[in-house]
Amino acid sequence: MTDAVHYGIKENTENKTKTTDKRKNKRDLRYLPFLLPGAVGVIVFIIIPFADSARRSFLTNITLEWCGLDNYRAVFNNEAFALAMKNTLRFTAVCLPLLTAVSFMIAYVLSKLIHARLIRSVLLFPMAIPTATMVLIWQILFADSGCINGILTYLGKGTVRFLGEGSFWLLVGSYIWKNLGYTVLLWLTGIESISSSLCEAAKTDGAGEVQCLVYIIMPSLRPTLYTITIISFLNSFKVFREAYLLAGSYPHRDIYLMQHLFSNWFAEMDLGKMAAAAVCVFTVVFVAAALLKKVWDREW
Amino acid sequence: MLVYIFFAVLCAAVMLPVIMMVLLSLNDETELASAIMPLESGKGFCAPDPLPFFPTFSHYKKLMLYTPEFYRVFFNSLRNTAVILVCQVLFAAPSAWAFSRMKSRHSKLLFDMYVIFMLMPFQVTMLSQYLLLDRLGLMDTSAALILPAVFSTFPVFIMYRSFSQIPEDVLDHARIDGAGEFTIFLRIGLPMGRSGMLAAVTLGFLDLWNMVEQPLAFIKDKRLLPLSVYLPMIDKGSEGIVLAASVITLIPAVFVFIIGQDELEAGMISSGIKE
Amino acid sequence: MKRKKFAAWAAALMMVLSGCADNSAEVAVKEMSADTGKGRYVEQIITPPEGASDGFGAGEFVNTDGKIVFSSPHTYERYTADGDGFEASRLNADILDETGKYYLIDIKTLPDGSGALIYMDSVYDEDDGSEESVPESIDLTYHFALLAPDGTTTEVDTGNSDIYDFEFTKDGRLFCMMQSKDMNGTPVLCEVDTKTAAVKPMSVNTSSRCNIDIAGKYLVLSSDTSGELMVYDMEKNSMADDTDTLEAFWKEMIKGENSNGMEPVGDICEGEENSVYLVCSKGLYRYEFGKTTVEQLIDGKTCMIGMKSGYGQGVSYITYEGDDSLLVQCADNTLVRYKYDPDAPDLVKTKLRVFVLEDMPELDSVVNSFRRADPTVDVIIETGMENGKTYEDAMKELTTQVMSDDPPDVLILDGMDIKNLTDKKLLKDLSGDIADITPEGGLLEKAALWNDEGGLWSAAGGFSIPAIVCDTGSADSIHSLAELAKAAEKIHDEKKGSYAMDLEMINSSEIARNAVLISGELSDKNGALDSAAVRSFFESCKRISDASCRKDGAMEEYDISRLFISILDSVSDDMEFHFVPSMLSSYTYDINAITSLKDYDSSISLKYGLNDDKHSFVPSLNAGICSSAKNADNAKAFIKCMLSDETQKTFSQQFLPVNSNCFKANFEDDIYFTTGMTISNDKGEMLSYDWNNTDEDEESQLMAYIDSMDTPVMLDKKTMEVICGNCANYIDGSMTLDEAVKAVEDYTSIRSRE
Repeated sequence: MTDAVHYGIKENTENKTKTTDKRKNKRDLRYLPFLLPGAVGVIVFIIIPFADSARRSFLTNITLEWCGLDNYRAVFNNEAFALAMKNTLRFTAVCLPLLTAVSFMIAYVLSKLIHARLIRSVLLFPMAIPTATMVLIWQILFADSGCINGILTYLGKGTVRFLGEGSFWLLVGSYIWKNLGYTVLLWLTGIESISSSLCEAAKTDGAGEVQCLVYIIMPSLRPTLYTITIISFLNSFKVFREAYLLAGSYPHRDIYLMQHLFSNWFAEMDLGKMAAAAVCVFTVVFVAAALLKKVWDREW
Repeated sequence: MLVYIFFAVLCAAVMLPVIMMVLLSLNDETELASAIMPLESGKGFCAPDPLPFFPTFSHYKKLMLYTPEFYRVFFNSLRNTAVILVCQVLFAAPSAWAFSRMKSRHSKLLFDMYVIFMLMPFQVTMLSQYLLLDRLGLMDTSAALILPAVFSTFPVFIMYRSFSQIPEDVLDHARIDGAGEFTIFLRIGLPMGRSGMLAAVTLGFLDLWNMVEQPLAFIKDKRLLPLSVYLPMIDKGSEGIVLAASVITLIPAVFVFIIGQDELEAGMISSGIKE
Repeated sequence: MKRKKFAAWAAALMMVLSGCADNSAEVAVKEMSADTGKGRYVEQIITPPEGASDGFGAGEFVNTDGKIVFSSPHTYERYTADGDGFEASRLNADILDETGKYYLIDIKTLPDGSGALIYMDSVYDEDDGSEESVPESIDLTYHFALLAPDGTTTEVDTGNSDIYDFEFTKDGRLFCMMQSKDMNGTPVLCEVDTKTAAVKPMSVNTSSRCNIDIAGKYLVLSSDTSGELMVYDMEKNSMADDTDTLEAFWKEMIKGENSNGMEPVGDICEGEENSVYLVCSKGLYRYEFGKTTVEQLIDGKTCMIGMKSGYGQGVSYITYEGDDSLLVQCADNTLVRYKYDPDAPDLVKTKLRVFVLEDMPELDSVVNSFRRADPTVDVIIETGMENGKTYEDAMKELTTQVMSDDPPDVLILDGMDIKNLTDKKLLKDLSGDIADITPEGGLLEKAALWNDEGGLWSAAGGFSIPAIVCDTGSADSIHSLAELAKAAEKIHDEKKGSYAMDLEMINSSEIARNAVLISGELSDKNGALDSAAVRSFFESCKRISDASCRKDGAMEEYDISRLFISILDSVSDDMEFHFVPSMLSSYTYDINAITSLKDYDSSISLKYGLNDDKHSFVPSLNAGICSSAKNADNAKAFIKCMLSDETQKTFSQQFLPVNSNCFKANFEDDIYFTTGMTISNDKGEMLSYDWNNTDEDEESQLMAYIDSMDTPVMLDKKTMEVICGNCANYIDGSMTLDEAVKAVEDYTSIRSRE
């Protein structure tokens, strides 16, 4: 994870003294007391429980006897796990690019408009709405006998089972609805902080709008993209709440997510599998984050 | 011009569910029942009237005057959220500051771990949190909701971003003038990183106000439940109350959103231009 | 900036407001013996005096300065306090001399023999000996009269209203509650002048039917059904103030007591110095006017107060004898005294934890018996699905408890995924304990000990069996749910306007649920749900629904086991109902009733079990012990108590007992409360048939089925929900058969693969 870069202004590498690791460590020590209180809490409430989870992944369910890799084997052979992982990955793979692209386009257009303020606020609004409050409204809109199906039938198109086969897209839509505003805002602040002088200078040299976009704006937005990716990825897990409140613990196949599985395992006392799967998920995220960092660092 | 029309439609579509919710909550019993009936009976389609014929505040009245539990759950939510946010700032701000200043590989590794744990959904760590809270004797208390949330690494991540935009030179100047690290943090770091802190508080509020899984898992006592979990527990028959409660749940979130938005945007823009 | 400030102020205001409006209706119940560990109320059952008949213990107390009298309207006796016991004497009232002409509803007498009473014209002509002849019209006029010491009655003219409750104060004043005959008006408090028999209405109205209790200068008006309570101050001649605590408490206390308005479920009496005692099956409480807490003196679960008779009737009346001693009338007309002994040690030594998904009143009976038998063990019942929690939430809570090595001792498995729990070795193997827990007379083992795969994992406390009552021709052709559907359609097609069954008040989901229970088709020893079986099941349900009478706007829950009454409508030509598949849960109400029906009409045939290859039944109150339970010995004793004669006797309403003695006692039982049924059909014609005991043939048919039972229907809540929900959708037409079956398939496929 690199330090954030000052937008459009390259770091002054000549003045930067090359510090050795040892000196870095020493200098860092003075920041330790800042870190300590928070870190203790994190260790106690987050890291230690997870380590305990890892320990449990090698033990049997209730009797807690050592069983080696049995739980892991059970998890890898478990079809529900495969389904859940596939769905979760599919969801992330669809949503993230979609959200990023759409919000960027909107942000770019908005950055040219004058009365963008109001539009920004409106788009941001869904983020403030708690999930539980919307459940009833979603049902009224999207149920098999809901408003939207009513309109579709009126237009002669027949009902769409939003809570059945179409539930995946319903969730994607809900995700985008919620996160569009914030993502647009992030893009906008990134775009707006690019000094307009740069683009003007380029234009006098004969560059077109598109070239401005591709060669000046986009590169400068790298750190913004990074933040957006992380936050959107984080929020993609939150969509479970909607799925659970709308469709319960055994929803349609397409939206059977990782959290559903964990929740059901817990209710069925399949604790060994839960622990093993938790370790697997952690590993996957760890690898993904490490890869992301490598890609970022390399193109820097 | 076309662009504006496009955005007008987009905004309308975005706001539609909320507007619908508010309008429906003003419907009286019979209108509401007829609007929702297709859901139960499976015949016909829901077609609520855009504007209620007999708008009424009766649901709100019933909720606020005859349902004492509502105040309790509202207060629980408010109290939990406030306590968590204050503590989060207390613990996360120094941590974020430290991470943004520390350059060693160890600190970077620790920060990466923070980020990864931030990304873990609740269900994955649910098992062990249960056990920990149980061993500490905190099950079925508000502390079970508050403590793990206080140490969430999400605010650290957000604040880190804005803290790391502060150039080291400014700090060096201060050090030359003889300021200690803590003073630097208080006098320079905090003010300059204000936007990040506010962003973390705003986002944190919206997330905590919405907390569903933890109360369901850790809390048994009805009196400790927060508002976000109370909503799904209202009886099926009283949709009017559900809608009224939903609208009221919405209000603090909107408040925070209004307050936070200005600062969020202003802070972000200004910190970008600053050298 | 301004906007922000406003927002900040508004937020602060909200916090303050919500904090203040908090906790308004919470009533603190202070528990007494928690303080010193010593001192408690000691129970003493009062034996009926010599010469008293069975009705001793019925009738509300009249307490004038420590002289306690109560009278029984059923046995015409009155009992006056005599030392520690009571003396019985015959009631002296002239209207009672004319045998059988009047029916006494309520009577209260003072020590000197005067009093007041409510009576009505008798419906039955007792001289005749039978109830064959039903009068053309029944006069339901209530008469209210004053009673003089010499026995003369003076009727009080109440105009267009009836007096339904009355009480005497210590000074002999008489107050009563009056309501207009058509039940339209609100009940009003009145005083009756004992000298002139004049009725003076006071301007105190209650919104529901309330009873009067006198407490010093206060008149307490309380309702057993609505939970309403009002207090009138006789000295000030106005309503008393500061009664919020008492009102809130009463409301809370009466909740869930299921009063039908006919029998009391709670009572209030005067205590010392401005306080009152309150009693209901939850316990005995004391409240001092002006305070904000109500003290719990005795927990109903630990003594006779919490006991309910087989018919659901529990504690009824209470009075204060003075000196920290109270008299309480408990179930089955048992009179009990509770006297405070400051030196009696608190008996509780251990705790037994019982986990159950939903409240079961029968479980409360078991707890009551258990605690009375062994007062050293405190039983704590944890209800998983209370307060709107779902099935998953409850199971997660159970998981947490097991994980943190703090499991419940007894687990009631009804509604849970039993196979999963046994696979995970959560339950203790009870095969070695069978001899211990079996009562003397033995158990109906097929019903009680069905969970015996690889070891005995639980014991069932009760069970229900399916049966079908129909004309003999059909009975021969029905051997499965599909055939039932076919026969139903045949009847429906044969004659226009004729329906196979009366399902008019049941919604589709209930149809599915009952079909699951009755047919047992979806239950398999292995617990697997076969897709083809589901499909055939759904189809049959729809066919049955289409062939039966359904009307829009179905009520939520209707007990199908009482549906047998509808078969009488077959007498009418317009609408004929031909089948009654039912779950039989009560020997008295269900089994006797339908066997009597069969006796009445020889063309009617009774068959136990629907499926020929699966003899199904539904076990209830399945109790198991957690393998890591801390209190396993007491848990075993709890199960033993559940299966014992005494406890199983109280199960006569909700399920058939598994205790052999109790079950077979039904064979001898004399049905004492009614010897016939009078029912009207659509044309308004009255028909009656005798409701009598099962005879030997019927008994052996029943026992033969019980001995052959092999398929318990024990689906967990989630699976039932999925099946019934989708079946209901299919029946109602909002899903096609394929969609419905696929939905169930999706669920089971994911679930089985987890």
